[in-house]
Amino acid sequence: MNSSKIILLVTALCISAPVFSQTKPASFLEVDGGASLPLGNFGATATASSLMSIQGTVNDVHGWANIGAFGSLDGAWFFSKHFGVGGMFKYGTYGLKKVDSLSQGYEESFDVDTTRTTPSHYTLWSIMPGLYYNLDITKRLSFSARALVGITHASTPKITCTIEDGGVFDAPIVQYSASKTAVAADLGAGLNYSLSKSLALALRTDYFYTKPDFSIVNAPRLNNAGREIYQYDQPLESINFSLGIAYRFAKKK
Amino acid sequence: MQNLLSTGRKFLPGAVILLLLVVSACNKAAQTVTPSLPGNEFLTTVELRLTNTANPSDVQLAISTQMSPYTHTYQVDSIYNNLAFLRLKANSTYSGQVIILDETQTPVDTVSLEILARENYHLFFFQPSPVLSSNFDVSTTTTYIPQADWLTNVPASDTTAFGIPENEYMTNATDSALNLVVNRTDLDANSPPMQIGLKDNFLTGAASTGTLRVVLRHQPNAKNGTYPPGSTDLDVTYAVTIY
Repeated sequence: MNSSKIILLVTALCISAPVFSQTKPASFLEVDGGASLPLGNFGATATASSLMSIQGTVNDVHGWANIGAFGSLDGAWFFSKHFGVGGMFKYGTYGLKKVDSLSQGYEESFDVDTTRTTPSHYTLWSIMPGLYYNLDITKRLSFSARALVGITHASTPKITCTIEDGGVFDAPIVQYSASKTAVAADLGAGLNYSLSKSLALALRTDYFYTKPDFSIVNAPRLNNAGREIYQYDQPLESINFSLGIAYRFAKKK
Repeated sequence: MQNLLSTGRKFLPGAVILLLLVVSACNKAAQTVTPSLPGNEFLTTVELRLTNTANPSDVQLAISTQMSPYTHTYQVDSIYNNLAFLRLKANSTYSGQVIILDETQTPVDTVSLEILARENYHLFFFQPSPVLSSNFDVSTTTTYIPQADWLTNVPASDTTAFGIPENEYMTNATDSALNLVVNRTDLDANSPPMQIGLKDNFLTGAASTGTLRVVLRHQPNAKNGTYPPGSTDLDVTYAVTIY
């Protein structure tokens, strides 16, 4: 639903855009960095009690992703006064949140004195070509939008839980990192402010979506208890907020 | 053009550093240590309830407890063994049940139900002593405790009911061994299922005396049928007379 609204907005702006410039926008190369808010089950967590399972393992659809960070390099060449083609190369990472609930779920499932849970991160590498739109609002300020489709190589975190009971450390619970490449989409809009003829600040919001359907490998579980997932087929979707600096190439006259 | 390049040199390194800072800020390893939950299960009493399969009226109840029979309070450093004995008929089969209680609760809490719920990582061991060397077989389906984990240096003052020393040993002579073999009869929900030991068969041979040590091992993500993994939840010794 969100993505539909963004597409409609971009389309409406394209159709109704008044013409402030009679020339094509300059091609640009832009470096961005920012924060990423995971959406849906990707950013959802579970309670320790819902992860407690003592006579079998329990599946978990939650991604536990915390607010992440990303950096990107993108650029575009404009073939008309509003539209251009370009692409983005992006690297993003997300830690895990509420790891204490995850840890306590294992502790209650195995009825042990202490659990120590150490997760690594989700990582996403994306290459996404697509369509760019630009609309000059004032001499220095312009509106931009983009619709990109490409591929993302995503990795899930490795989660290691050591368990200790009665002073004895038993076999740790390990969910290994899984990787997969999948189709991804990015819809974004933002404002650019010219600092000079060749430099501009870019403030942007993007919606990102991919669904890699990971197959998860775990260390052999000797006893059927606690959280254990073999498949993670939830979408990895996020809203990204970025600040960047763009270098605009000189326009050809 | 010179101005443009100069401006670019001012802004681009800053932007790259900002980008690197943002990305690296989220790369710190998160780790959570979850300590013990308050109010974990607690036990005061271990009972063996044995019923002769050939004579259901022959029921033996052995009780090892840390509840003082005088004050009815939990004694952290004391075990009361005056009821911790079994009198079993020779050449018989008894069906047995281990019952674990927390008698500090009102009503009394049956901890063995909790053990049954958590059967996938609990395993009971039963070590008769003196054990006949030809019977002694440590495997994933027998209840014997490996010799390395036997009680061998218990002070002479620590005895079971009837003053029998708790130290364990092996013998080659049938007439000096405790002629008792214990087999577990219940299975857990692991894949494949493994034995638990809350329910057992006690097979007696010729008349003899000795001790029976009962150990409950807590083996989270480690239960494999053997004794070593995990830690000990309970370790009690009963006096046994086969007549």
